[in-house]
Amino acid sequence: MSKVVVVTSGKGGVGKTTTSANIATGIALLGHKTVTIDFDVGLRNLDLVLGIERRVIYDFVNVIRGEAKLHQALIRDKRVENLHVLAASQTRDKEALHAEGVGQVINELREMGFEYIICDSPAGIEKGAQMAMYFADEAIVVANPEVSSVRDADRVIGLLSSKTSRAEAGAAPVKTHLLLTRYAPGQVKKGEMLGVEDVLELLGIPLLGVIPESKAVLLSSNKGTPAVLDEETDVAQAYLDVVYRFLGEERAHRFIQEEKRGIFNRLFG
Amino acid sequence: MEAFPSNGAMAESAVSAFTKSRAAFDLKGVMTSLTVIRLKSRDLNLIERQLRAKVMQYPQFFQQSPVVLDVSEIEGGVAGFPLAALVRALHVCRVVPVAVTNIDEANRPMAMAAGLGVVQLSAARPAGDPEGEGRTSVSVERIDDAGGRPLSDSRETVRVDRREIHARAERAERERQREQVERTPTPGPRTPGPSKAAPPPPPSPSRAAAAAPTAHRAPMVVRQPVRSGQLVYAEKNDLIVLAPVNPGAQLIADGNIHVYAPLRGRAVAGAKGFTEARIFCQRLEAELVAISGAYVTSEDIPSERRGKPVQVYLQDGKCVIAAL
Repeated sequence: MSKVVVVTSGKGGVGKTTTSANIATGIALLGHKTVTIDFDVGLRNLDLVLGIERRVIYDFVNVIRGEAKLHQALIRDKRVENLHVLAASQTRDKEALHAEGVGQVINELREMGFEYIICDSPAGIEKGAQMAMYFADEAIVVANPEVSSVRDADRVIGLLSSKTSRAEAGAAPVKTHLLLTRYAPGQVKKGEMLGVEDVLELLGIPLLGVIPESKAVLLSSNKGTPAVLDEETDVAQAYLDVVYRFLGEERAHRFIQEEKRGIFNRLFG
Repeated sequence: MEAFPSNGAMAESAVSAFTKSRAAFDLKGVMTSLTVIRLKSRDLNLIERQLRAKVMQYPQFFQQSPVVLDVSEIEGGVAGFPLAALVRALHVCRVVPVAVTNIDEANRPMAMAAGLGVVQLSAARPAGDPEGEGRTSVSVERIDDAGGRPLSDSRETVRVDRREIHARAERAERERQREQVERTPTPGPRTPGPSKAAPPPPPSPSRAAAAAPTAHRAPMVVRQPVRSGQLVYAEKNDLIVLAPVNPGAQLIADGNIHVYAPLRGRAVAGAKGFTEARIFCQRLEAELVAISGAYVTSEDIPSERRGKPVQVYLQDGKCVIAAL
């Protein structure tokens, strides 16, 4: 039974594409046939972050408009066998998306046997974001521990309970999870940053995980290799925890407390 | 519109398509507010004199206003009442009767003969009726005055009470942002009754009874958090919220608002002018609270009330934020 998962936030720049790339990669590494779709028509990034930008021939909008078949547009990741990518169009804009077309593509992906369909939403709450969330079964709401991000996340959570196919049909609601990214426990301790409890009090949805602020994200983005493929880094560990939790396994939350730096780290770190 | 509908209604739709192309008019249902004159005396001269006095006193109220005549309390019954003559007399006063209400089947023809329609309204009298029975010829009692003040004092001999008439139900769909909001079924014709008992000061009977939008109605109850950008409107009703109201959310009620959780968004009670409305919350962190037009923004909330359980009510036209 395939699951459509939207990664959304409202606020821009909080880590949706990074999260989509890493979670899709992680789920695929664990053996599930996964596809990730870039809904940011006109400002596509997912292909860059996954390092497949040089192989894009046909895109999501081509498929919706019938200019290409889905199997022609789908790009198979060379490193991870179960991972496929459907890139966004760079020349068109979000008006090219419509519910009927998007729905057809998603149905076709389901028929092709994809277990997880990860929709990378653009920022905002207009067409692109609406289309990305419309067919979702589950949602990962990404937020930074920062007031504007939390306000926007709240807005988006409200939209998930009304502007989706499930809401309109009166079906079981979209299962929402919170992913707190760019978390810096040191700053939280100093009172400079919102803590996990503060954010949860305002948003009131289950916490899927906390991803620490890390240089690894920038480096992996520039290399086109999702952080999760380099298991050594804290970001990779955090995203792997998230993937396991998402798939139903219990994992203790790490990266919420400031880590105690050992003597060697303090000397040489 | 299908040219060839599959259910075999081809002939019908062809006819209606034909008439549509040549339609001389459209039919539409609307809701409107009309004034009711509840007749008491049979003496046309007395009625005319008193109504003239009323018209002179409040000319803007009577500019060719359409009115409905309630004939249920005419002394001696409506049979034989000079309805057509009354209509002419009212026209002279620039009052235009359009229909009769509370008339029995047997007497309906006289309405038609006088050129009046027949409507069904709630038969109940408003409570707190300051007028005694039998002394007056016509009743005029202003309800729903936006400022909450009665238009007439209790010694007026002419009273008119204002109710809503639902002519046809073509309600525009109000977009609701959340489907989990529990809505109570809309009751039938509204029966004004005594207002909900409020903590001191008790409002004076006539205007409170009439203006309370929440009498005899189960409140709207919301159990899910109200999120940023969502709007909840309890029309003619109280609103009870059992979960947090987030910044950027809006609560509006024609009646009272109760939030048994932190209130961080906006709350507007008594939205249609009910100045006796109150707002209650467990933790006041609101961006704005307002009662019937008077408002207080977050920066003007007294610091000792911020974050505490409060009630908000109007006193001398200003919002008072009191500890709960």
